[in-house]
Amino acid sequence: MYGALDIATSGMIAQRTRLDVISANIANENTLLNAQGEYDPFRRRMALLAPGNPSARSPRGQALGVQVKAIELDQAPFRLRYAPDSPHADASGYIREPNIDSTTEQIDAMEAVRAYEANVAAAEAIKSIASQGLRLLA
Amino acid sequence: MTLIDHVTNAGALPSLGMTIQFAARRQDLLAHSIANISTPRFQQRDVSTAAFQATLGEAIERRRAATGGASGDLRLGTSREVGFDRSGALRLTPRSSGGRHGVMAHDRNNRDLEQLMQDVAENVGVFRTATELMRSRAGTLRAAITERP
Amino acid sequence: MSDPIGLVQGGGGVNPLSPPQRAKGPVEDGAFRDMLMANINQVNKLQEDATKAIEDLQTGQRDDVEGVLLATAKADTAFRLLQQVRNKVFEAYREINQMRV
Repeated sequence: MYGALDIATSGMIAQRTRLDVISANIANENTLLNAQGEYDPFRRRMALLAPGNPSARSPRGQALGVQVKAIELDQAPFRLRYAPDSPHADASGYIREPNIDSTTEQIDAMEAVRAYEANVAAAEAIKSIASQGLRLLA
Repeated sequence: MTLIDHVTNAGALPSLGMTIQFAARRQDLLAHSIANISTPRFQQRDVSTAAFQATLGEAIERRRAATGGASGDLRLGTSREVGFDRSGALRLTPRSSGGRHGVMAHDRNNRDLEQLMQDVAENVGVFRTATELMRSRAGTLRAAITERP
Repeated sequence: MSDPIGLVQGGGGVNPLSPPQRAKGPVEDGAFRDMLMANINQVNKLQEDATKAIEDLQTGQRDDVEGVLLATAKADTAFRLLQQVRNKVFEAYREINQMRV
């Protein structure tokens, strides 16, 4: 009875996870040091989505919905900036900066919000169907 | 057919039951497509409402030919997308394309969110209409049984 | 239905030895039954129309929900009216049965 709502909820959770990842990228656009203080530029994170929902209650339900399969590091090369005076400059005078472009991230964020709202609309439709079905008995 | 059968499968009640089940199962498919709106390489799948209507129409014709249409069970013919499981509940196997315009996004997802939203609204409308009609017909039956209008 | 028992026209009182005359007025024997049957048939037809309308809506042969709702409402009203007529006829029958003659 609650299986259909699981589908819409999994969509909402996946989009919110995406939004969290995007927020982390935007926040760390200029982070050059890691938690230990060593020079380790922040790599862009990506949320990988896949169909299916392992946390669904029934085997049939587990085939429907969406899940975040993994959060991977984007292997695109770091941005290089010429700054020979910086303590982190390499032999040619370049420092590597996080491979994050804030414009791209913001557009991704807008798309994630739109997808989240679509899933909310789907959940409302499912709830409306469920309550309408109950009126058969009244 | 027993007396009870004549009441439980009277008139339009069996066909309304089919429509209600179809709309409820199709809602699951639409929710699945919406949940995967950002999933790379995902292809939207839907069931064809026209095909379901045709199958339902044929079953109604058979019932009319057999019993005159006032009572009798409705048996849907086999079709690619509409089937029944062991407990008799309707099951849908989507084989039609959900994305209408043949446009594929850069992540190979053929998403069509506007079409999905329209499909959801239509589907909820179908469900509500069928449930209200069933409520009204069942109410008339109940009035006949209890002798109170 | 002017004077079925003959109370108004008299006729010299009721003779207890001869059987009561049946009034020959505009109401013929069985006319009420025919009227009832005609109404029952019409209610049946309206119910069949409503069933067909609902089925056609579902199979896509018609797309006017309002028309189907109207047909359903008509059938329902007609049925409930017939039901009330039947109830009243039963009541009258029971009353007449319980009358002490």
